Amino acid sequence: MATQEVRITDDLVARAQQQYRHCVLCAHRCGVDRATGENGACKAGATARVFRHRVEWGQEAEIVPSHLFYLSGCDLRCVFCIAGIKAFDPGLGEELTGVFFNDAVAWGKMRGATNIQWVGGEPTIHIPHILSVMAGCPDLPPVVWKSDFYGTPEAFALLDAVVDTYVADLKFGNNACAHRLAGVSDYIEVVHRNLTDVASAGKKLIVRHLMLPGHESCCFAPIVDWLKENLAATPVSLWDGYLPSWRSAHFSELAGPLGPAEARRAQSLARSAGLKVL
Amino acid sequence: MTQKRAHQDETTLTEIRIQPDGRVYVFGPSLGILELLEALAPADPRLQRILKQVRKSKPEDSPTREES
Repeated sequence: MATQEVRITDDLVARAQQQYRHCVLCAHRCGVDRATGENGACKAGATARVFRHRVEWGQEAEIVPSHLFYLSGCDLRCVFCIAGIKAFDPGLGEELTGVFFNDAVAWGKMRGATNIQWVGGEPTIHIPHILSVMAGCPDLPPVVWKSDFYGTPEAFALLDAVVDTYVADLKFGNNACAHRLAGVSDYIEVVHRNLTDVASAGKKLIVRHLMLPGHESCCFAPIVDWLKENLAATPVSLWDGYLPSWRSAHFSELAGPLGPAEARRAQSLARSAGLKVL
Repeated sequence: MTQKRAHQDETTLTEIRIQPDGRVYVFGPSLGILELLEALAPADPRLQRILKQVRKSKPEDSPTREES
């Protein structure tokens, strides 16, 4: 496994730590003092916890084998979240310490991982803690950042020199669905801005989309249109394995799996639009 | 975390769900399961891309070798 050719400076870590005193890491912009126990929308404090880590082989070919670190705590509340309470309760899991991380990285290398990948929940809400442990890692592998992209420019600025590849989980094609199913506002404006910024900065980017049943015309079609218009050269990964999870049974269209015909239509639409479908 | 604990994680686990209509879903496939899927669907281009990449970096102590 190659090592990361970046140095995470003390200054960068210190700047990131300031976010815990007035947190605007995600677009909720709560401004709470997480270091003293105040909670914002994500309910996270100043400690990141890992509820699972494993080397995975079944993701996009561009990033496998990848060593994923699943952090508890999230800024979204997607009713179909496959991780459910593990993603939403930031108190779950083992504390992410330097010893934990360095041992885990060494173990992942032994298993063939070519990178480390931060996932959640949502890693953006834990950027200060993540940078702190990565700064103390002697042989840091390339960093993959899998995110809902609901972060702020301040958050992305902290990642700029650190992340090798971004995996953006583009979930919705309009604000109404994002608000109804994930409890967030201004989703489209925030996520589109971040995607455009990352792509225009020349960063490696994969846009991932989990196709949702019943959201072909309201979400999928607008996503395809926007990607065609703005990120036509960016690799797009379409996931068609939706199954009901967490609280999706309360939403009629999400109560069953994605139908095969709907999945085929979506794949066809994306390819006919000229997207670079992986 | 110790090496012993790390080896107790879920790297070699795969979640497989079979729906009532017969569709099979594979989540987080282990390397061994990917190779099994290759045997079942050798023409799947996405699977081939993944396996090609994985095999380039497959270590001597990969899970399938350890456990076979």
